[in-house]
Amino acid sequence: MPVRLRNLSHVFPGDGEPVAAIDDLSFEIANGEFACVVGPSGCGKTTLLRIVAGLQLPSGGAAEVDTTAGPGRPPTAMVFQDHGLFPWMTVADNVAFGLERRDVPRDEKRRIAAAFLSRIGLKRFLDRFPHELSAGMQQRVGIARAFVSDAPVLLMDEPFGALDAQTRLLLQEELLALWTASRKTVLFVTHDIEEAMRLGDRILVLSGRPARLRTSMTILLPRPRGEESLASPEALEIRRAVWELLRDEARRELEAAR
Amino acid sequence: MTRSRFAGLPALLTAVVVAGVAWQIAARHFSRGAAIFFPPPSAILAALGRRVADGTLPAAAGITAARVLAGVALASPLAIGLGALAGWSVSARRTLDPALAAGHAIPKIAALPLFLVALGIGETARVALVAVSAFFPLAINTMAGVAEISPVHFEVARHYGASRARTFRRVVLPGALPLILVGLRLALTIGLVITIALELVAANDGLGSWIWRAWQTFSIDDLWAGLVAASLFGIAIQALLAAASRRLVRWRPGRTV
Repeated sequence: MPVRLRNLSHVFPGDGEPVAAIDDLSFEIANGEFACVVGPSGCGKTTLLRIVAGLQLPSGGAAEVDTTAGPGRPPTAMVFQDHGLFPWMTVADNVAFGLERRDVPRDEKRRIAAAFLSRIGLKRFLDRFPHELSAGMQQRVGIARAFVSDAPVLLMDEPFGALDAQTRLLLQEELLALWTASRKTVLFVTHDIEEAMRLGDRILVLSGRPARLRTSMTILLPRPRGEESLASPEALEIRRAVWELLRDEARRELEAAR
Repeated sequence: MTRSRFAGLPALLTAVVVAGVAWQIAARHFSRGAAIFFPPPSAILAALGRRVADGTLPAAAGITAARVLAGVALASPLAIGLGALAGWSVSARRTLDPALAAGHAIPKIAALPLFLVALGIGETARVALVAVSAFFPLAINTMAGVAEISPVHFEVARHYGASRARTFRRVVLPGALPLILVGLRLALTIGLVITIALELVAANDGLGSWIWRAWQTFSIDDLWAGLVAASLFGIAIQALLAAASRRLVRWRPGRTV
């Protein structure tokens, strides 16, 4: 199993009262699986990803990530919510940063980055700076960096959350194509059920804070998932079940906030 | 970009010309005493032209420039290094920030006698005083520049496995560069002020010495020409740093320096 959570808990010390973000979370993600995590906003999804990425130590339990990827490959590659590109590096250098662990000369890194960027049609932007690109383009560069690192596990933190609807659809398609070609294991966090239905092999529904696993649903809809299969009775049933769980959680959050 | 770069020039020139003409006209009504110490701009410009032509003013300015550049060059590696450390590490900042604040507050020119005692009356003491004066604004700006870098960038570097040395070179330095350039501008300007000040009393060459000699020989027009030369220095420093910023900080829309 590339990712295995065992009784994972996390509590932020906070200023006054400690805040429990994650409570006793256990699940596994299979090799090559595209797993979508949905939950009400602020439920600790980002914390979950940060723990799996090794950016944050959990206060209890464990997030085990297969680290046998081999030298020069990070075990996980994170696509950050607001792309996390370095504004002072060109597109090519930003993507080449994914190869930071690889012991190859700079020119070789740039060559690998350029090859990947031309594969996704971004060759013209090699020497541009991030601020010269649209939000959608910036996130495509962020995704390119993660793929170029060749980490077996991709962690994605609402990567399309800030994009307009059309751009989001196009980037979802692009991501699926890259995933199909590479068969990486993906842990994708979103608050958008529709997005999870389009992308995921499985939807993991989390409760509001502290995040607990409410349910895990396998989506057996055939790929590629066109509008037709997303409107099939089976799809509607999954959507309804997920929404019911989420609505309960969202309502509880709202009431707790009052 | 070209448009915005020179967009302020007409207004600036107009202001300078208007102020100059007003002064020129007012100078006619100055008392005899005032007229000696506040000569009309025409007389100052004439003196400036004369002293540039006979080579004495450029020679003095060149010596001053060399002292400023030597001092700032000497201070820069340590100022940028320590400033970056203080901006990067919270525990280092706890120690360094008060130390920088304390050191920055000391009027360095007042310590000139101590420098002369410690290093001898010579070029070493002069350049050392300039270096110490330039150190603080550069270190403080570097610290602020690094502290301003978004934590996300440090996380990305760590996540993709960048070593500390690589993070310093590829994240800390470029991320702080806009404010490092602001720090250099302040360091050069303060270095110039300190150099001229110490040359007034502790050198027999350079712009400060030139101004002091003009005063003692009662060549008031020359004294004013020296002051104008110092302000032209300020403009040169600004232009230099703005050019550096345009070349090095292409990644950021707008400009800092």
